[in-house]
Amino acid sequence: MAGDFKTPRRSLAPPQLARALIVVMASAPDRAALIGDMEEEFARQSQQSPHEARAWYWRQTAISAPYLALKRLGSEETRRLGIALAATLGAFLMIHYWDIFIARGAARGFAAVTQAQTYFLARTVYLLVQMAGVAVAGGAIAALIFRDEDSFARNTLRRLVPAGVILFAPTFFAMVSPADNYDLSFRLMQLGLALPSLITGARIAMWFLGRHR
Amino acid sequence: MRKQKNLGEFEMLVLAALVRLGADAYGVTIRREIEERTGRTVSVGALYSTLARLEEKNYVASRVGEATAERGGRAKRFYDINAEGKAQLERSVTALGAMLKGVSPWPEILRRLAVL
Repeated sequence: MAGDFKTPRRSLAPPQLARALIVVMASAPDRAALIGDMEEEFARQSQQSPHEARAWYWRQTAISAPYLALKRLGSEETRRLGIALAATLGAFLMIHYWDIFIARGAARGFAAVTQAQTYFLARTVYLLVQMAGVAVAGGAIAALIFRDEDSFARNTLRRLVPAGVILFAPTFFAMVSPADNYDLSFRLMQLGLALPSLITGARIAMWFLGRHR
Repeated sequence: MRKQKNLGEFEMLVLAALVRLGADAYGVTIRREIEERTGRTVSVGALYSTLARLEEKNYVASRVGEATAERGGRAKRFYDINAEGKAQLERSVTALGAMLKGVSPWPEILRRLAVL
């Protein structure tokens, strides 16, 4: 009979956005237990009133946010993230200093000595010297933010590659900009060599510090 | 002499809840116990921040319990007050009582009730 068919009741779940906020704000050691507690209380309350349960979940998210945020700011994770950002900023400044004062100087010196007729060789020298600077930056980043408990590959994927993306984002945007003075092939070489240079520098630094795994 | 770490009001409530709940003290029961007995709303964020601080002060210890379906498969974290935590709670309550003597209206109300 038609009357026997009932629309299946949707399983009650906490508000997704509120839950996502809690997941982001809670620090790792407490996260699972805290969210589990919220879900348990939500399940209990939603048996009486789903509407009230959702309101309770949102209210808890709102009044918990300041405590969770403050705790998160003082946590080990945040300290490590701060160090990673500081290391990346330091590497960014170092690469640009190296670019302006060392790599360009080396290219000019090479051009003057060899009296090269084309820019190609001078640019190659510039690129090689610049990548040596990038490798030094990669070594510094690895020394500061690589974790001994992780393998080199995992450290590279989780820490060095994101730092590299930040470091070379301006080069990428310069490449796609119509006002860029360099030709596309040079920019592509610059970007293509950047990550291998960072990784080589990191590898050398880890070997030098005896932290290779 | 070792310097004592003072307890805040909410820390005292949490430690008292741990004493009352015994082995069944985890986030949900602690929060409910405080809410039912004091009538105040307790945020889970404040509760977990306080529990972490008490653990750092070495007044409580935590252990991971069982996961249930109603918790989305997440494990409970149980908290136990240790001897140092109990001693500190007692010291703080005694100090609070000494400070409230003659200030709080309760001793006066109790005296009147005794007279009646």
